[in-house]
Amino acid sequence: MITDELLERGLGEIGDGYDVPSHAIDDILDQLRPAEDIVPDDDLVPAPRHWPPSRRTWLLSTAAALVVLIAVAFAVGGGGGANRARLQNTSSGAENAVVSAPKSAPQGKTMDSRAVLTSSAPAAAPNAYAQSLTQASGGGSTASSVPPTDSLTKIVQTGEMDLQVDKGKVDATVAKLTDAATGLGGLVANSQTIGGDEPSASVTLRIPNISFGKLLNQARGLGKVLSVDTKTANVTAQYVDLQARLHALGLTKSTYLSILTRASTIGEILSVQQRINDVQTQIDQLQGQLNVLTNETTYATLTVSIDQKTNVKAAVVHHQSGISKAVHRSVSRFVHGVEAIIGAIGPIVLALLLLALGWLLAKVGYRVVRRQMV
Amino acid sequence: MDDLESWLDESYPRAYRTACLVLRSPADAEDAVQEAFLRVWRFRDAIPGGDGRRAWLYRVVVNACLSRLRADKPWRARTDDEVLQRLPAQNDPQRDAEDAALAACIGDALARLPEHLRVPVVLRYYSGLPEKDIAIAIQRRPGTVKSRLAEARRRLSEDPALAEWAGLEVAR
Repeated sequence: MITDELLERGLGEIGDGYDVPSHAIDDILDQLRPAEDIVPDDDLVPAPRHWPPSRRTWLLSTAAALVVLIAVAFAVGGGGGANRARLQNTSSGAENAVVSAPKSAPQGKTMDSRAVLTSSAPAAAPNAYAQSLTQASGGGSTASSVPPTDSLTKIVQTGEMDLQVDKGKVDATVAKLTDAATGLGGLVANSQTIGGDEPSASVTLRIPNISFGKLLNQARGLGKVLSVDTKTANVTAQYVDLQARLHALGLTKSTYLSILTRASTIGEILSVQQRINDVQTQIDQLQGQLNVLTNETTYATLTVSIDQKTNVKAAVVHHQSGISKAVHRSVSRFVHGVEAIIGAIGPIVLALLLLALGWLLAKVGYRVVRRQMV
Repeated sequence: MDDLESWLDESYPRAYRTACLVLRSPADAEDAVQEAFLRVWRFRDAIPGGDGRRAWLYRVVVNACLSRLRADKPWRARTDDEVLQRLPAQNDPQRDAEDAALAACIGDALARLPEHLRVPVVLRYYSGLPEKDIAIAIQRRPGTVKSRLAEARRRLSEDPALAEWAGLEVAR
């Protein structure tokens, strides 16, 4: 077996046989020095990069990332409880405005998607909201139903209201609504009544735009308002466009008419007449659209759905004892607690997944950097 | 900074010759060591202190050499005859002749070793690194280094010329 000494001697001979280039290390150092000379002042030297970071730095970074990720996860996934009440108030814009009000939840009845019940809302809230709604929709004794606009502005107003009236007063309420609409210069566009044990009705009223707020106020006085949803749409641009196109077609028609007076042959007359007919058809179509738009901007539409109160459920609740209420409340809170926990699991799992991904990336990056260093 | 410069200055000859033994080309060795030293400078904050510094330096040098070897496969065709002809003259002519012959034998045998065995041999018997430092330099476990060195010695012993040298050593 070859000895270590022999190998050291032989390799030493070979290795030492290589002449070390005298300029090589100087060249290397010359390349390194300019980088050092760039920084003239120690105060300007940035803090040296310590890589790899210390264990403490890793821990702090991981903890900070964890906190941020969890916060982001909760923000994305939502951390609200099951009882969180949403109240969507008024949203208004130049083109479209929507007003929603809270309402009591009628048993077995679908709620308006824009009106969300808040169980914790005070009983007076609907009335207060109705007041604000009146102001928002321009109702009341002093305000106009149409937002203050210039004379050219064309607004289409529509509204829907759910009313709950006392037992046996559905028909009377329909009649009062009809009187209110006609009294304000409007009319009943549609009316539908369903009889039986639980009678209900639906009435569509058309009234002048300016009286829309007054009609809303009067309707509120006829029963308990469960929801109100009003919308306004600004159709001024559409209106002006129709008018301009009508004006242009009118000019075209006039031109053809003047040409028609100079037509000498039957063929020319028929040809021009055909053009005039085409233009007239377009004028009629546009005029029809303009009439509809004018009607919609002149008259607001309010649809009122009426049903009568039912107190069966209330009676059942009324007979619950204190212990029964407490048990019921306890079960309800337990269910809500479980819902909240399940709701929080999603963001936490997301945060853990992101953390795992970040850890993997950091590990790979660390290995790559270490490999580049050497 | 002066400390680092002086350390690099001191380390250059041994690092250069180690690279020559691995690459068997002075020009490539010069380039590889230059590249390695620039990396060392760039990542000077990562240089470990104490005894680990030398192993770390050789790790950078070996990696630079291996990168060149893998990018330049025909290295096996190289010969270091010219190097052997440039062996420094010594005062003892007989010793000079023996050393030259030994170097030629070992050079030939070393050239036949695969890369993964040649590098540990060079680091161990020329650069003088202990096995644990070689493990750092080639990024393998110390046990792997030990087995590779044993395998390299076994293969070198099978070389007839080197076996003859080994017999002479035993006789002495």
